[in-house]
Amino acid sequence: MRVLLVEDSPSDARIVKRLLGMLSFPAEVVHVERVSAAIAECKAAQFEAAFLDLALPDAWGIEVVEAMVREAPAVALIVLTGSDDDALGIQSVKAGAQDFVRKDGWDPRLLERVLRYAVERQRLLAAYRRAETERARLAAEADDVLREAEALLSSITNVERCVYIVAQLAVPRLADACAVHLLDKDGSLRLAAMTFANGHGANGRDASEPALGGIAPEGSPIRGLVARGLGMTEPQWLLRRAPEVGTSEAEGPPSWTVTTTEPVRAELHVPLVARSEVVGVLTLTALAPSRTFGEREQRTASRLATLAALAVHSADLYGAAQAAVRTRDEFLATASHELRTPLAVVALSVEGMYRAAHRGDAAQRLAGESGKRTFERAFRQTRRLVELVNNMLDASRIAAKPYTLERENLDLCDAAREIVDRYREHAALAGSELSISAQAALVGSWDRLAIDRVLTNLVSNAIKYAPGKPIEVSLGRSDARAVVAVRDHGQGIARESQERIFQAYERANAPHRGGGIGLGLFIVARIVEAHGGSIRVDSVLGEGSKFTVELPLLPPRSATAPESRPSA
Amino acid sequence: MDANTTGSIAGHVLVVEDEDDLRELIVELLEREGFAVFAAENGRRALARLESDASRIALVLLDMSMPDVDGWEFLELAKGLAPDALPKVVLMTAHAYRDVESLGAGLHGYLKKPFDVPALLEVVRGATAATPRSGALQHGD
Repeated sequence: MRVLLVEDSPSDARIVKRLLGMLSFPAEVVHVERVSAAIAECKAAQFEAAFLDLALPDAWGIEVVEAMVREAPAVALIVLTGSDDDALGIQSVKAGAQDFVRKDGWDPRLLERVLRYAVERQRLLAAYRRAETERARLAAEADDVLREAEALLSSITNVERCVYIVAQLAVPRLADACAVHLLDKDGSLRLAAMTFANGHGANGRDASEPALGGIAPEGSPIRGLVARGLGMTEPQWLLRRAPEVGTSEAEGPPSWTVTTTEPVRAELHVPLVARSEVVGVLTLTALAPSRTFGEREQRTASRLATLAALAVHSADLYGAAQAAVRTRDEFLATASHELRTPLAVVALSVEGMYRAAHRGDAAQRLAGESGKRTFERAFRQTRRLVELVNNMLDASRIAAKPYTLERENLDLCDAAREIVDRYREHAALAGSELSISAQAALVGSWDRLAIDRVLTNLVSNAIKYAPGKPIEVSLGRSDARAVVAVRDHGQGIARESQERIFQAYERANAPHRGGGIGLGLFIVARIVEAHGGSIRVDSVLGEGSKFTVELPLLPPRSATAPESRPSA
Repeated sequence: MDANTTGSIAGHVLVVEDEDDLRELIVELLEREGFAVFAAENGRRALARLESDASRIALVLLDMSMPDVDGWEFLELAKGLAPDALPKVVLMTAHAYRDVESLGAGLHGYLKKPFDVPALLEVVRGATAATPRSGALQHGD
């Protein structure tokens, strides 16, 4: 142990040196006579302790202690006081000395004990101060992260960018690695962003590989989410994890889970919750031995997760709004385009008849083949306009939620016969023969107008896309389901288009042949779905298509509630 | 009928429109007014007609959105076919264009669907009259 003796009295110095020579451990003693010299010694070399006389040539009394505390804070200070000066000793301890010894009671054992205790207390004090400084630094850093997150996220309208920023901000100030998983619409978790601190992770700071990511412990509310999202794509060492050594969970979901393992030392999963909906999971990982996740880290992570969730949520809303505007614009453009051609035919035809009537040669103009053709054209294109407008209105009604059915007892065969009758002439104009084969009755509880629209759209599609070829409508029964099929012998639908045709504004073929705005089958599919039924298409290019609709004869038990899309 | 429209047309009108009803109707209307008319149901057929009868065609009434070869492709290919002797072209379109000139050189005007008979005849007469091909643009309402 290195000990500094600050004493200007040669006799006192001699006594102290002799006593220090009697310690049970070796002590190297450096003797100076002034505070300035003492400070210089402490700066030049390390001392565990210093004995201070308080009457020195360059300083006196408590100021000696104060100067040493200020200039040599790591050294344990023991004050040497006069025979009746305990008050000064106590004052010295308050000023930062560890202890005091009276010069009249020299006792080698007392001196040794005072020295040992003073040095030990000084060590504890230093450790406490270091921890305090570190705590303040971490708290300031956490505050910085949150402040930066708030500032950056407030202006972001892109979900991917949001989670990237969160992962970037978290490392290295909050964690050695950070992963953000987002919950997709189908319920699966997808790794959306990940960042490693320097020196961790195989791919450096921005790892795109899912090399890290936690599986929450058994019983955790997010375990299912995380496990489903990560699946088996994780590297082996994550699958070989030790059981967690600590788990803390708050009451009720969403909650914390903390798992500590090797080589991932600790992991913090925080659900991203916005408007009481889980949109994802934030995972903070400790890889460095010095990293711990305590209450403060949990609080910070929780607040960061809240900021991230809100940002993701509003970016989602923004994206949805953008998409809705885009869809509306596309719809308006397509609709106006598709309406204009039949409208041109109708307008020109009617105008021609009007002019003929005014000239007085209407009888001649409208008689014979040419007159018949004029009426046929106007009739056909008017019908097409009606269909287009109906579909547009239906689509906007059906797209609105909830879509409610008005069920009544209905014979599907009757409905189909009626539509076949309605369209027979139209089909004949297109050169198609429309036929129907049906049982006596197929009665179910369905929405009459909606079913009419289903059959109408399927039949008019067949006429539109397969002119000049026969069209067969057939009805039958399969268990508790009514089955209606519309078969044409047109050009058919390519396999890759068969899924797409049931979406809004999609057509399988070149958009101009026969026209249409791609809403007919979308409407059909939505109506069939709402009835708890199904629709499929079997088609071979060049041979034609067969659309088959199956409808439950009995309504589902909750027939009064609007049925939602069956989940996969 | 005015004497200068009936029987005095230097060439044919080529009607390019994929909608059968509209094409037949326009052909009927123009023929009744004394125009000689060729019809084509898409750009490919129209190009074939242009190739075989270029000298007889004074005006192309061109629908823009058609399957196979559409109006734009037709214009490109027609320029390659007859770079110096391209007939006047009037577009028939469901879209509104603020400035026909921006669509490219060689266009005489456009008809926005739906158009009426006078607008059709005005554009066709204007384009087929014995005026220089660089005459003022005309269009229907």
